[in-house]
Amino acid sequence: MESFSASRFRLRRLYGVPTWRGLVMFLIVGAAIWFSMQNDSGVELWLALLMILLSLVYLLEASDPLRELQISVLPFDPPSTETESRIPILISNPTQVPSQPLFLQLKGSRIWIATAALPAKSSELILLPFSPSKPGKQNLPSVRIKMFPPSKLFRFWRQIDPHVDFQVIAKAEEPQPLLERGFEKNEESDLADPELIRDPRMLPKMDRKLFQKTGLAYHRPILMSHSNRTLQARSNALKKLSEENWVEPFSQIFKQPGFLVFFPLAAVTYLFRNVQGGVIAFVISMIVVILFWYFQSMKFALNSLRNIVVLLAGLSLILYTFGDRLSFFSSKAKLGGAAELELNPATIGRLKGSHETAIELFLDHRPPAEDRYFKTGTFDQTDDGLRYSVEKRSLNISRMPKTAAWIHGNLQTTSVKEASAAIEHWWREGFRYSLSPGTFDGAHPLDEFLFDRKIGFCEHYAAALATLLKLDGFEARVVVGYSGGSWNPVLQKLTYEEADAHAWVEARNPGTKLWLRLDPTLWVSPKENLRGEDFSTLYNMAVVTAGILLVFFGLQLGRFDPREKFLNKLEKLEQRNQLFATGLTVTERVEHLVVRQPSLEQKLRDTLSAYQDTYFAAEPHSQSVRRFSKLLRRW
Amino acid sequence: MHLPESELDRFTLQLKLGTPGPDTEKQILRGIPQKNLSQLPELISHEELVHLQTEVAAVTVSEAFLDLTVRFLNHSRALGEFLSPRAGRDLVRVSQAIAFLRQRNFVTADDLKFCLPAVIGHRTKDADGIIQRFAFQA
Repeated sequence: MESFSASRFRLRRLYGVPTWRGLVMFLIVGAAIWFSMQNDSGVELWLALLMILLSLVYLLEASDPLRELQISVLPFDPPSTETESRIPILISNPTQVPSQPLFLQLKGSRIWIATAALPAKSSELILLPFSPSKPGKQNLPSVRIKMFPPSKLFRFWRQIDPHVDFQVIAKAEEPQPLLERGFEKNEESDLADPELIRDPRMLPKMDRKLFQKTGLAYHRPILMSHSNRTLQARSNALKKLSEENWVEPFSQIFKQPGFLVFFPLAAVTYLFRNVQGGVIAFVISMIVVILFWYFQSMKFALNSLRNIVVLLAGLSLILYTFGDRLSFFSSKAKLGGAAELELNPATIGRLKGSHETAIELFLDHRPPAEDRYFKTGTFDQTDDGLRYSVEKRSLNISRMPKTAAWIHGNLQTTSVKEASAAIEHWWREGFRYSLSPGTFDGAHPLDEFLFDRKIGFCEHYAAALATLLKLDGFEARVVVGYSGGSWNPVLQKLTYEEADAHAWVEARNPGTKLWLRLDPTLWVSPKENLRGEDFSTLYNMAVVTAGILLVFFGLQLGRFDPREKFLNKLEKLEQRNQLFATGLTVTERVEHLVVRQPSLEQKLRDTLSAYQDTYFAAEPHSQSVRRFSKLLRRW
Repeated sequence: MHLPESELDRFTLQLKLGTPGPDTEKQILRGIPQKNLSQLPELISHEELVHLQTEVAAVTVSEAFLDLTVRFLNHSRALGEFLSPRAGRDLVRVSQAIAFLRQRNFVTADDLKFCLPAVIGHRTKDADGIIQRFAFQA
C-alpha cells in the first residue's frame, strides 16, 4: 500500500451567459448600424468600430477566463448521494505532504497555493482528488471554484456566477491507491501502520476543527501519515507529474464562445465578399487570438495595460489593412439587382488585377455635380426628367471669374486630350483628396475650390473638370455611378458597395460623337484606384482609436491603485523566490524578500516607506499617492 | 480562564509572563527583602502619565488602518471566532500605544500584528490560526 500515484486534472472553465443588458446593448448597436446604413449617415464606421471592439472584448473575455480564483475545499459528500457533485480536493506539491486544504489561488492559468502550510519548491500545483475508489466513481465531474468579483465592465455584459464551474477535462493517471484506504475504512491496514494518527484529537488544532467541520476527520489520519517511505513515494509521484505544463491547452480556444461566434462570422462574411481580404483578416485575427492566449496568464485582459495595447494593435492592424473595405459592415450599392453582376469568363479574365478595365455603372439621373457643388447654373429641368446642358453656353460665367480668366489665359486647346493633359498637369501638384472637404459657399465657389482650398472628392473634381472643359469649348458632362467593385470568385460575381460610388467626366471634341472618359480623381490620388484613397476615413479611425485609448486609460486611471500594483509586485517576487507564507504584514514580506534578493533592498525599502506614509501616516492624498506611484514606476 | 466569553471580552490584553529564569526564581525562593512601598522611586508622575495618554490617543489612525482592522474582525468572524467591536476598539488603541513606543506617530499593519496575539488571544480559541490566515495589507 505504500505505492502512491497522483492524478492530475486539467480544469476548464464552463462559461456564464451574457446578461440581458449585454444582449440589449448588442441589439441596440446592431440596429443602429443597420439604420445608419439605410440613411448613409456616415455613423456606421464609428458603430462598426464599436461593434468590433465589443466583439474583441467578448473574445478577450472568452479567451482569458481564469482571473483570480479561489478554490475552497468543500465538505466531502460521498458521490453515491448524487445530490450535487461537490468534490473536495486536496492540495499538494512535490515537496510537501498535503495539509490544510483550505484555499487555492488561481491566477491566469497558473495556480498558486495560498495556504501557509505549503511552502513549495515548485510553483506547480497538483490536485489530489479526494475520491473513494469505488469502481465507476472515479471520475470527478467538476470542481467548484470561487471567483473574485470581476471588473465592472466585465460584469456589465457578462453574468458571472461567483461560483464558476470547472470541468475536469483531462486526467493524467488513474486515482491513487494511497487515498483509497481511508475511504474503504480498511481498519486492518490502518492498524498495521503505527505511524498513522487515528485520533482526530491528535491533529493540530486548526486541522482538527476543519476536519471535524467538514466531515473529513476520519480520512485525515491517512493523510497525516508521516512514514518516510510513503512521503518519498508520494513526493516522487508528484514530482513526475509536476513536470508537465499546467497552462490551458491552446486547442481549448477553439471551443470558446467568442471564438465560435465572432471569428466564423467574420470569416464567412469576408470570404463571400472578398476572398483574399477574408484570408488575410482571418490570419490577422488568429495572430491576435494567439497573442491573447499567450498573455492569458495575466490578469483579465482589460485590466492590464499590456493587453489593451495588444487589443488596440490588433484592432488597428485590421482596420488599417481593411480600412476601406470593412465589407461586412458596408452596404451593397443601392441599385437593386444590379449591385451584383454576373460576368462572362472573358470579362472576368480582363478584370482580374486591373482597375483600368473595371466596370462602371452609370447613374446619371441626378442633378449635375457642377451645379450641386459649384452652382454653375447648368441645371435645366425638362419635362422628360432631369436634363442638363453639356455646353459652355449653359454656364453662369459670373460665378467663376477667376476660372474663366485662367481658361482664357492658359487653355486655348484644340482637343479634349490636350486640355485634360494641361489640367492634369495643373492638378497633380497641390490638390488633395478628402471625403469631408466642407462646402464651397462663397460667391465664387468654383474659384474657391480651384485656386484657394484645392480639396475635394471625386464629384468636386469631376464637376470642376467638366466645367473647365466646357469653358474651353468642349462638350462635357459629369457621370455619377459606381466604379471598381470587388470580384468574388466564390460567388462568381462582381459586387458593388456604397463605398464604390464614384463620379467622373465624359467629354467630346466638337463635331465627334464619341465620348471620352476622363477620371480626374486619379490625378489627385494616383495611388488608389478609381475610388480614391479615403484619407479622411483613416483620419476618423485614428480619432476613434485615440478616443478608445482615452476612455480606457481614463478607466484605468480611475481604478488605478498603486497599492494593488505594489502588492502584485511583492507577490511576483515572492513567487519567484518561492515564498508562500501567509499572515505576514507588508513589512515582514519585504524583510523576507530583502534576504532573498539583497540587490532590491533599496527599492523595496523605499517603496515600503512610501506605502506606509501614504496609507498609514495620514489619509492618502493625491500628492503622496503620486509619489508612491512614481516609486513604483521605477521598478 | 473560566470566565464567560462576555466577561473575558472586557480584558484588553492578556499577556503571558511565562516562568522566571532559574536565577530569578532562586532569588524569589530566597525571599525578597521587604521594602517600604513609600520608598519606591516615582518613575512617572501623574501628569506625565496623563500627558502620555493624550500623546498615544493622538497617534494617527488612518482610514486604511481602520479598514484593515474591520477586515480582520470580519475575517475572524468568518472563521467562526467572534470578535466583538470592543475587541476591535482595543486593537486600535493598543496599536496606537505600540506605534507610540516605536516612536512613530501613525499606526501600521505591523503594530496591529504585533498586538494581535495579546488582544485576541483570550477572546478566541485559535488566535494563531486566525492571524496566520489573514492578509495584512492596507
